[in-house]
Amino acid sequence: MSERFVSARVEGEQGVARALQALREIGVPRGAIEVLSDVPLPEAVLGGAMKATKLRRFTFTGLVLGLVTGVFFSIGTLFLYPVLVGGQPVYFAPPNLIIIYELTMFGLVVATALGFVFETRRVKGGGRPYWANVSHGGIYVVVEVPPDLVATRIREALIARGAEPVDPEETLP
Amino acid sequence: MSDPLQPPANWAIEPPPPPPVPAEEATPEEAAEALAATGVVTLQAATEAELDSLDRRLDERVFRSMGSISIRYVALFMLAGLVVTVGLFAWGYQVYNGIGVAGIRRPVFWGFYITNFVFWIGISHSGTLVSAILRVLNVEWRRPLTRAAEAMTVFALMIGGLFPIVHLGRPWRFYWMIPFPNERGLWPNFRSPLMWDLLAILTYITASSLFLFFPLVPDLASARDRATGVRRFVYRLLSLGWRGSQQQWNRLHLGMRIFTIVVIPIAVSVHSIVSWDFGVTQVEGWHSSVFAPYFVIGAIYSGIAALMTVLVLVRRGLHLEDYITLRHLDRMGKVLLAVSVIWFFFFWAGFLTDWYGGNAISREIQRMHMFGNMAPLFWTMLGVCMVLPFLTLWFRRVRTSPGAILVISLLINLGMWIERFLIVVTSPMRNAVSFNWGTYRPQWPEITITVATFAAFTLLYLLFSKAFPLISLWEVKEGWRIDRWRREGVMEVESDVPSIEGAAAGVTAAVEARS
Amino acid sequence: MACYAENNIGVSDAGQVAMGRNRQWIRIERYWERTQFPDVEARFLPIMCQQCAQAPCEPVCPVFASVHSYDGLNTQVYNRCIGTRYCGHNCPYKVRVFNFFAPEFPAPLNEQLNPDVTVRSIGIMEKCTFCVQRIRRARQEAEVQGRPIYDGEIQPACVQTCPSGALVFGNGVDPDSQVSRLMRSQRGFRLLESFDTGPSVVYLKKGGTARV
Repeated sequence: MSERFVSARVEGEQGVARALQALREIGVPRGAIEVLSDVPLPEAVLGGAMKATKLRRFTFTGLVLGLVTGVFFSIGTLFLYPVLVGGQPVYFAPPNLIIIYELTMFGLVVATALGFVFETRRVKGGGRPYWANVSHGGIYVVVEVPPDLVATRIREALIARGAEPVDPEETLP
Repeated sequence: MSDPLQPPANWAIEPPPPPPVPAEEATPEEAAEALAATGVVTLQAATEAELDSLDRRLDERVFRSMGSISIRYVALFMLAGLVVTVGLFAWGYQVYNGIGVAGIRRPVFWGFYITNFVFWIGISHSGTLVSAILRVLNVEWRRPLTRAAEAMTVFALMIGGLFPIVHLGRPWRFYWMIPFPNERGLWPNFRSPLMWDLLAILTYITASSLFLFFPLVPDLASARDRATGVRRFVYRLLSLGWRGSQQQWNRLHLGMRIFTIVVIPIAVSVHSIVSWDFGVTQVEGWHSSVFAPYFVIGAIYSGIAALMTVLVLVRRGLHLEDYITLRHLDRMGKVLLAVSVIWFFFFWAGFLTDWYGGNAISREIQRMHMFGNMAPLFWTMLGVCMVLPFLTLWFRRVRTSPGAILVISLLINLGMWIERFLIVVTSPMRNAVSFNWGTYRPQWPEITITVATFAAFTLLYLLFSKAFPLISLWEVKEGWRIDRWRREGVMEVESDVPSIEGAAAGVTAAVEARS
Repeated sequence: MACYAENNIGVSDAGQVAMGRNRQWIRIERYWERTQFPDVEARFLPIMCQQCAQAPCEPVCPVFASVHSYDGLNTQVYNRCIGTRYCGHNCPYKVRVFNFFAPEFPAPLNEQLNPDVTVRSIGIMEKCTFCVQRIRRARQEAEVQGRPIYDGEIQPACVQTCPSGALVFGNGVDPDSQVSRLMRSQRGFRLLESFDTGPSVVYLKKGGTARV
C-alpha cells in the first residue's frame, strides 16, 4: 500500500530540529515537510523558512485595484456626471486624494484577506493529516512521501532520531 | 503601609526572582503551579514540561470560561438586552414619527447622535493602538491584551457606524450615499466629507474585522479540537482548515504584519476625516485646522481609557488575573498618562488660538464654555480629562489598583463624551448671525438611544466572550517561548537553505540562536 | 405669508416654533438700535436664501441634493435629500429650513396649495428658491413668444406682495435693469461679506445722499 504521508510525533523544539536534520540527510525536499504545532516555531529551529508564500501578490493586486476604483470614483464619475457645486471646480484635488487613498487601502486589505483565506485552504488532492493533540501542545512532523523515496525509509530515519510515528487521526480540511 | 513607589512584595519587575527550585520528586505540573503563583509575567520555565503545563493551564482557564455560563452572566445579559430593546423601540418610534421627536432644531442641526458617532469612532481606536502600534513596536506586554482590544474596535465601529443612519431625516434612503450604478444616473457627491466618512469607516471596519479574525484562526482551531456538536461545526468552518503547519504560521505572520502596518494609517485617516466633517465647514468653533490631530489623539485617549475599563472588568469576570496582570495595568496606565498630556497639548493649541486671535463669534463660544451656561460641562471635562490623570496616574499605587483604574477610565470617557458634545453642539448654537442663536435640549429618544448603545456594546462583548477566547492564546504562548529562547538560546540546525525572506519576521527577530 | 402661500410651506405649531423649528423661507430679522423707552428704534432685515455664487451649502451635501443651476440659483433637489442637515450647518445665514415633521396644512389651507410647487415630505431640507417656478414660467412664455424677458416681469411672491416696494428682483446681468442700477448704488452692502460666499442679494442702507 503506498502511503502518501508519513507522520511522526516529536518532543519539543529539539525534537523538531533533530527530525528535520534526519530528513535532510536522507534527501527529503523541504517543500515536502510540514511541522504542525500550537505555537509558531522560530526559524532557527527549522533552519530557514519552509515554503514561500504568494500573499504579497494578493496584496499588491488589491492595492492596484483599489487605486483604480478610487480614481474612478473620485475623477471618473465627475467626468460622467459633472455637477457644479459651491463654486469649486469640478475636478478638485483634495477630496479626490482622500477618496483614492481610502479605496486603495480598502482594496489592499480585502485582497490580503482573500489571499490569506485562499492560501490557507489551498490543498491539492484532498485533505492532510491532523491530530487534535496539536492544539494541546503536541508537535508533529508530516512528510509527503516524494516519488524517489520509500515510506519505510523515512520512518526509519525519523525513529532513529527519536520521533514516534503515528497514524493520522483526521484530515483537514 | 508600604511605600507606593516600591513594588508590592508579591510580584517582581526586573530582575525576576529566581524560580523556586522544585523538589526532586515534584512533578512538572506542581513546579509550574509554584511558578505561576508568583504572578510574574515573564516566566522562567526552564523545561519544556513546565512551559507545556503553563500552556495547558491557560487553555483550560480560558476554555472553561467560554464553556460555562454563570448567573451573573445571565443577569448582565438580560439587563443589557432589555436596555437594547428599549433603545430599538425608541429608534423605531423616531423613524415612524419623524426625526422631529429628537431635540435638534435650527441652528443646532446635529445633537446627541453625532456626538455619539464621534465618540464611538473614537473608542474604536483602542484596538488600533494596542494591537497595531504595540505590535509594530514589538512590545511584548501587549500579548494578552490584543484580542480584547481588537474586539472593542470592531464593536465600537459597528455601533458608531449606525449613528449616521439614525440621525438622517429620511433614514430609509441612506443607501443613496453608497456609490452604485443606478437607473437615475446619479453618483454621490465625493466632495462631501460625509462621503469620505462612509468610505473611511467602511475601510476601517473591514480592516479591523479582518485584523480581529486572522489572529483568531489558530485559537478557533484550538476551540474546534475541544468542542462538540454545532459549535464544533462552526469552529471548523471558521478556522479555515487551520492545522498549525509552519507554512500557515508564516502566512499568518506575514498577513498580520501587512495588516498591522496598514491599519495604523487607516485609523489615523478615519478620525481625521471625522474631524473634517467639522473642520471644513464655515461654522465658527468648527473651522479649525487643529481638529484633525486633536480628534485623533482624543480618540486614542478615550480608546485606551475604554480598553482599561474593559480589561479590568474582563480580568475580574473571567478570572484572568494571572494573564492580564497588574503589571499590564501599570504599563497601560503610563501610556494613558502620556496620551492625556498630548491630548491636553492639542486642546491648549486650539483654545489659545481661539482665545487670543479669534473673532467675536469664537470668543462668544469660548465665553459660553468658560463662564456661560456650558461652564459646568466644560470644567468637568477639563477636570476629568486633564487634571485627574495628572494627579493620579503618576503613582504606581493607583496604576496597579484595578478599582482605581476602573473609576478613572470611566470618568475619562465621560469627560471625552462631554468634550465631543461641546464641540458638536455648542458651536452651531452661536453661529455667524446672532439672530439665529439657539439652545439645544435633548429629548428622550436621543437619551434612550445613547444609553442603549452602551448596553449594545456590553451585549456584543458578552456574546463574544462566550464564543471566542478573549485572550490571544497562541500569542501569549509565543511570548513565553520567545522569553525563554531569549534567555537560553535555541539549538540551531545546520541548514544549506538560506533563510527565505518571505517568512515570518515577528517571531524570529527576537531570538538569539546558538548551537 | 405670501411666501408660505406660494411655496406650499407647512404651518408649524407653537411648540415647534418655541423650539426654533419655524419653517419660514424668508424671515424679518429685527435689530434694536436704541432700546431705551421712549427712544426706541428697530431696524428690519428681511433675509432669504442669498443664492450664493460660491455657496458653502453645496459641496457638503453627500447626495448632490444641493446644486447650482445654470442661471445662478442655488437649487435644492427635494427628492434627493436624505436629511443629513449638513448644508444647514454650512449656511452662514442659516436660511435653510428642515422638515422635522411632515408639513401640515390645517383646513382650509390644504385647498389652496400651489400646483407648481412640490409639497415636501418629512426629513427634507428646503429654502427660498427665488420662486423658481415663476422664473421658469416667465422663461417659457418668453421663449414661446420669441421675446426677451422684460425687466420686472418675474416677481417672486415676496417682491410681488411687498406694499412699499422694498424688494426688487430682476436680471443682474442686464446693466439697464432696475435691479442692476440699485445694486451699483453706494448704499449697497451684502451680508457677511467676509465669508466670501458671493451672495446674490444686495441690501441698501438707509440715509445718505445718493439718489439711487
